[in-house]
Amino acid sequence: MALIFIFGPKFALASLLYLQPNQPASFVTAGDSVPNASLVGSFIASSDMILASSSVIQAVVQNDSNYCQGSASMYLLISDSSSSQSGSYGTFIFTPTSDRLSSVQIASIIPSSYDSLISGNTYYFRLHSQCSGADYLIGGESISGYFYFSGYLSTESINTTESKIYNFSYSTTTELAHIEGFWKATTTPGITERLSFYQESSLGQEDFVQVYATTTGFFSYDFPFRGSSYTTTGTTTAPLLSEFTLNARLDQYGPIVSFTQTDILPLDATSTSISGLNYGVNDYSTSTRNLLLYPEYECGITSMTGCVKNAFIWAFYPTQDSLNQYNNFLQLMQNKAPFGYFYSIKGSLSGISSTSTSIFNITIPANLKQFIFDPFDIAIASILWFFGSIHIYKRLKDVDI
Amino acid sequence: MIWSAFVYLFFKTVNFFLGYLPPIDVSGSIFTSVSTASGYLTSIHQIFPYITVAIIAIFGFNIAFETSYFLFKLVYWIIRRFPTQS
Repeated sequence: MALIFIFGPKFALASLLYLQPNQPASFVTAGDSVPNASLVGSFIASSDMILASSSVIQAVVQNDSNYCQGSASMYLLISDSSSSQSGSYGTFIFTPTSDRLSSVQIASIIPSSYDSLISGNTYYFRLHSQCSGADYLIGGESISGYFYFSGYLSTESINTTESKIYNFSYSTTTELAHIEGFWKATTTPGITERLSFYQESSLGQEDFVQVYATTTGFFSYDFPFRGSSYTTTGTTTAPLLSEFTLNARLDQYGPIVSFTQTDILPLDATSTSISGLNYGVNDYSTSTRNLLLYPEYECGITSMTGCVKNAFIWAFYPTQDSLNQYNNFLQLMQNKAPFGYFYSIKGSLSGISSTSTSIFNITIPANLKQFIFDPFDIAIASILWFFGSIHIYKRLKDVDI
Repeated sequence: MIWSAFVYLFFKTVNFFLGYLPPIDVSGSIFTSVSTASGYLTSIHQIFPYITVAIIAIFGFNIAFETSYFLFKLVYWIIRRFPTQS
């Protein structure tokens, strides 16, 4: 293993790259300097591929706290040789933004004479950094990064990074959970990938938030969660939850299969538990929650009002069990005839849309469409609306209550 | 406690009787037909967008209004079946 040479400020990266199929995972070798930058990944062209102007490579690297100050930049090389820069196609510079590298079009780095990847050949991606004039990589630490390759005009599509949650952390001072990962957006109607976050405790599920994937790529979100102590007034002591769990899920929601069911394919999930031990002394002054569900007040000689409140809560506050009976009733009614058919039809009607996948396509010349079809369309639609309005008026006029 | 007991007993009773009703058929044929209809609608929508929107809106209003009106009449009929003091 090469020696580690440090020039100037340290630029530490995360290792373990997630690569496309046919690529073994590899690790950054510590201390290599340009041009002997460490090999970080390889790609085997599975078929003759032509790079289009829209072909993109995206690399992501997570920095730790010792990131390079000042003019940090990343270089990505693609070559057909595992040695240094022999046969290199080109280099380009990424500008790190929030620990991430942006995507770059392959065409901008590939000379025109090398715009085809030959089937069966292995091509190598290499990553190294430059900080304050020195080129080096420091490895041997926990590093992570990803390559996302798309846009090939190939009969085969390259399988890219799988949808996954890569980082799930939280802060007890700001009470924010931070989730990073990769997801995909599809154009198929009814299919969406969604990131869900919620916290769970003896009080049940709270703070449920769901975010839809609108573009394919990496995501980073912060979700608020509630602390472990309650807000109180007067002289009562703030009760504390012993533990609660933060949950993050990445699922693919499929087409609706019934009025109450959607096909859900789990992609990834993670959770972390927070207890009183995770809170610092000063966190409790800001980590409070409103009293929820079945609240209880301190009851004692010095807090008689709490006893009265608890008595009223005991007498009149419905328990979760009784509320669940109502939910069960709704579920049962939606599954039993004849009420269930009304729910079924209602759900079906809401699925009618003029923007789903076409059964057939008709190509009409633009001039024909502009001068014949569009005026005809507008004229007929106007007639329909006119007579439709008259029909609606007459129907409403005859309503007998 | 009081409200919990009332809600619990009420819905337990209703759920008990509801359980005797037959389940509905969810084989998916309805949803397949809707999906197919949406596909044809989309095809026509590309050629005659305004006509498609007008047809969907007018039919949708009719179905929604007639269903609501029928449900209202049904519930009112059930309520009138209960004997009242006179």
